[in-house]
Amino acid sequence: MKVNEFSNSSLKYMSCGLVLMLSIASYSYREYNLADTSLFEKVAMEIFSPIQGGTQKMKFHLSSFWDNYVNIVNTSKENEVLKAKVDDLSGQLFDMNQLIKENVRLKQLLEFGVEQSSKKILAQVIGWDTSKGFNVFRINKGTNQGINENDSVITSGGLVGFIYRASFGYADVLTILDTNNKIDVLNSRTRVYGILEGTGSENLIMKYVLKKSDIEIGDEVITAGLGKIYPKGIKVGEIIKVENDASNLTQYIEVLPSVDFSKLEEVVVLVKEDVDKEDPVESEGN
Amino acid sequence: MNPKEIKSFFFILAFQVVVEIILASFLPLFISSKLRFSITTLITLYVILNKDYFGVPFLIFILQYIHSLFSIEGWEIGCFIGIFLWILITYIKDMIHLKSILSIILVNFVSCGLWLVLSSVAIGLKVGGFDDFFTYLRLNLIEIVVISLLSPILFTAFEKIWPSTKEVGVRL
Repeated sequence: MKVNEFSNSSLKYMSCGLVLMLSIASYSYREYNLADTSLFEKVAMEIFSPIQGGTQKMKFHLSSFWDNYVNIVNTSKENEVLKAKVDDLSGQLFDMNQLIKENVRLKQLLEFGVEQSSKKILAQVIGWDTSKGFNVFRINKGTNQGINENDSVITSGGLVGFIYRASFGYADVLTILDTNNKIDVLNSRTRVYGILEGTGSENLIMKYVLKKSDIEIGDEVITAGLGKIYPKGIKVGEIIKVENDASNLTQYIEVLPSVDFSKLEEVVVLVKEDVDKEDPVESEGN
Repeated sequence: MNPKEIKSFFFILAFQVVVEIILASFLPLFISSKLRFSITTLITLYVILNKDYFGVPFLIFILQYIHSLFSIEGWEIGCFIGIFLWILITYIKDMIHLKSILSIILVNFVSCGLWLVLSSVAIGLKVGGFDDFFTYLRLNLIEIVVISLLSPILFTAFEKIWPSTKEVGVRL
C-alpha cells in the first residue's frame, strides 16, 4: 500500500468516525416531543420561512382573484345568506359571552379556580415537514408574538398539536397525527382515561383502556389535562372502532380526529400564562 | 475538494434549499399535504455514489443539517445512514454500474429502500416501539418510487454542475 493511499484511507475512516460519533451522540439526546431551538436554527428558520410565507400569500391572492372576479355572479346571493348568518351568530356570541362570564363567576364561587389561562394567537400555516413520516407544519408566528415551545395549538374543530420548536417569527407544530405525539385523553361520556397516539396516518389509537371500560363507537374524546401541554376539555376526535386487544386485557380503539388536517390553513395557539392573570378569557386575533 | 468543487457544492446546496421550500410549501398548499418526498435523500445519494474523498461525511452532515431546518426528522439519522451507505458502496463499487437509466433507477431504489428500513429502525429504537414500522414503510413506498424515477434526470443535472470523482459515477 502506498503512503498516499494509506493516509487518504485513514482520513476517510477518521472523518467517518467523527461524524458518526457526533450523529449518535446528538441522536441519543434528541427528544422528538421536546425540542430546544438553537440560535442557529432560529436564524435559519427566519431566513427561509418568509419564502414559505410568500407561498401562502400567493395562494391567498390567487384565491381572492378567483372569489372576487370569477365567482362574482354568486356573490350577492351569498352575501344575503351570510348577512343573516352574521346576525344569527352575533346573537349566539352574546349568549356565549354571558355564559363564559357566568362560568367564571361560578368557578370562583366554588373555589375551583381557573386551571390554565390562555391568550389566543391566530396564525397561518405556511409549510409542512418535508419528511413523509412526520406530521409537522410551520406557522407564521413565533416567540416575538409570545408563542413558546409546548403551547397548545387548536382550531374551531378541536386539537391540532403543540409547538415543537419556535424561532422569533415562526414556529413548528407537531400535530396529533405524528407518532411522536402522545396525549392524555378521556371519554367525555364515561370519563374513562387513555393515552392517544398518532399513527402517521389519518386515525389515532387510544391505548391503555381496560377491557371492562365502557367505550362505544361515536363517543367523543377530549383532552384530560393531566400533562403539562394540553389544557383540559379540548375536543380531539370521535371513536370509530372498538375491538379487544391482542393481549385481551385492553381495548383497541381507533379515533378519528375532529380536525381535517388536509384543509388546515389557520390555527389558534393557546399561549400559556400565569394563573394569577386577571382575565382568563382574554383573546388576541391577528 | 478544490475551489471549483466547493463552488459546485454551494450550487447544490442552493438547489436543495429551493426544492425543500417548494416541497414544504408549494406542494402541500396547491396540491396535497400528503404528497411529500425528500430531495435531500437523492442529493445525498448522488454524493455517496459519485464522490470519493475524506470530506464526504462532512458534506453529508451539511446536507442533512439543512434538511433538518425543514423537518423535525433531524440530521442525525440521515447522517448515520448516509455514511453507512457510503462505506458500503466503497466496498461494492465494482458491482455497481451507473451506465444506463435503468441501472440508476434500480441503484437508487435499492439505496432508498435500505435508507428507509434503517431510518424506520432508528426511529423505532428511539420511540421505544416498532408498532408503526410497517406504516412507515407503506407511507414511504410511493416516495421511494418517485425519487428513483426522478434520479436519472437529477443525477444528469448534478453531473453537469458537480462532476463525478468516483469510478461508479454517472455516465449517461
